[in-house]
Amino acid sequence: MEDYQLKILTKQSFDYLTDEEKTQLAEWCSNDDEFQGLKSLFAIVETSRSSFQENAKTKSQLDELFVSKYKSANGINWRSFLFPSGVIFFRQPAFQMAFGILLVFGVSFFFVKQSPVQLAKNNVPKSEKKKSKSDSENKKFQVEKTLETFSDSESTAIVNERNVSNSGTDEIASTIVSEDSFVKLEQTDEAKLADFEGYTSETFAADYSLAEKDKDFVATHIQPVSSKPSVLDLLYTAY
Amino acid sequence: MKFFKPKYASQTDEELLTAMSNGDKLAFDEIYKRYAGQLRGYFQNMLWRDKEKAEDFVHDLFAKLIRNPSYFDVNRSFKTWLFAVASNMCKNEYKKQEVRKNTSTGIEEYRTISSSSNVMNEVHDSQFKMAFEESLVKLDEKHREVFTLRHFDGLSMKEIAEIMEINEGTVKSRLFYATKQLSEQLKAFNPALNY
Repeated sequence: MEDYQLKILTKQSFDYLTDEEKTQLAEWCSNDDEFQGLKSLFAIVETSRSSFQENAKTKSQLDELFVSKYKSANGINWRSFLFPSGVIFFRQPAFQMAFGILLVFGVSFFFVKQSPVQLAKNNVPKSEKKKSKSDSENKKFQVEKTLETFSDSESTAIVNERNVSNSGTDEIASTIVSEDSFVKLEQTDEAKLADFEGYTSETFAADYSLAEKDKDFVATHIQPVSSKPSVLDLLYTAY
Repeated sequence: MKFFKPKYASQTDEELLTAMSNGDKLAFDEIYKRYAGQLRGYFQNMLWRDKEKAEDFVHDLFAKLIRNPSYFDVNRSFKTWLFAVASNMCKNEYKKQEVRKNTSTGIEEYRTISSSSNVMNEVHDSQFKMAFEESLVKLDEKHREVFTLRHFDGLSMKEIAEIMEINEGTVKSRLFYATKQLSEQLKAFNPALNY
């Protein structure tokens, strides 16, 4: 039976039915008895339908089952809380929280006092300064070491100690140039060798000629730098 | 708090089921609220007015849904799918009762006991109601199911056809037969004849 037929059946009495309504119900009932029979049948159906009451026990059992299946170990299902399905994206708690945080950060920029504009100032950290200092020291040390090895091995700086004071004949003694001898040389004012920077091949030559003239001067002759240009290069880069 | 909560009542069954499969308890509550009563009535009518059995079947059906929401065929309407599952559960129960009938006490005995015990416990029992329930139980399964789905659960002819996997014409003819049968059996309670 269709809905419109049920409507006629439940609300009307057979005597008050129009011809059209009677035609619509023709296949179900043709007289008052049949009409009343159907009417009482659907009245009891309506009563029975509303008498199905919910059983709280069944619901609580199902709730327990649901909880045991879906709840996480912490007892909170974050996924369903943050991203509930069937909800428009801007109504999802995750989106709303993210938007809130963004808003707070955005607003906070207006209230934070900005530091006054600073003109260019090159602040080199102390550690960097130290580093550059130690670098140059290292280079210096390397050069000195190279010089040392140079004097040791290859050209074993021959120092011609010309003793012209006693016999009149030149006596040449060979000694190995060491760091001490350099110190010794530095301490000699007359030789003007205190400043190592100015100690070029020309200075050596000048000193040599000076030593020839002055018999008392114990000249120290080191081979000219031109014989070993790599040393000159090292000196140039280091100083 | 309402700002955060979706309106479950306005959501479709399919949306609710998707939410439920993600662990949304409120979505499950809404589905239960929509269908538990209908299913209870359906099972009660289909299972010889046995209230306890009907309650057990409602529980079993929703438990299946909780355990495996993926059973739901997304190509179908949730309502028809739910009643199709309920219909299959009833068919299985009939088969079970058939086996019992052939082996021991028999289905008729069960029907009589269950029917009479439920009627005895009925709060609103009137002679007419009792007679109606008995008449409904006496109908064969296919006619009873169509009548129950149509008039107790409010499903359309098309939905019933889908649930029972028959065509709409068959549904109409079965419904007509069931209504006529019930009306005939309840003639004695017809007020028009008593006066």
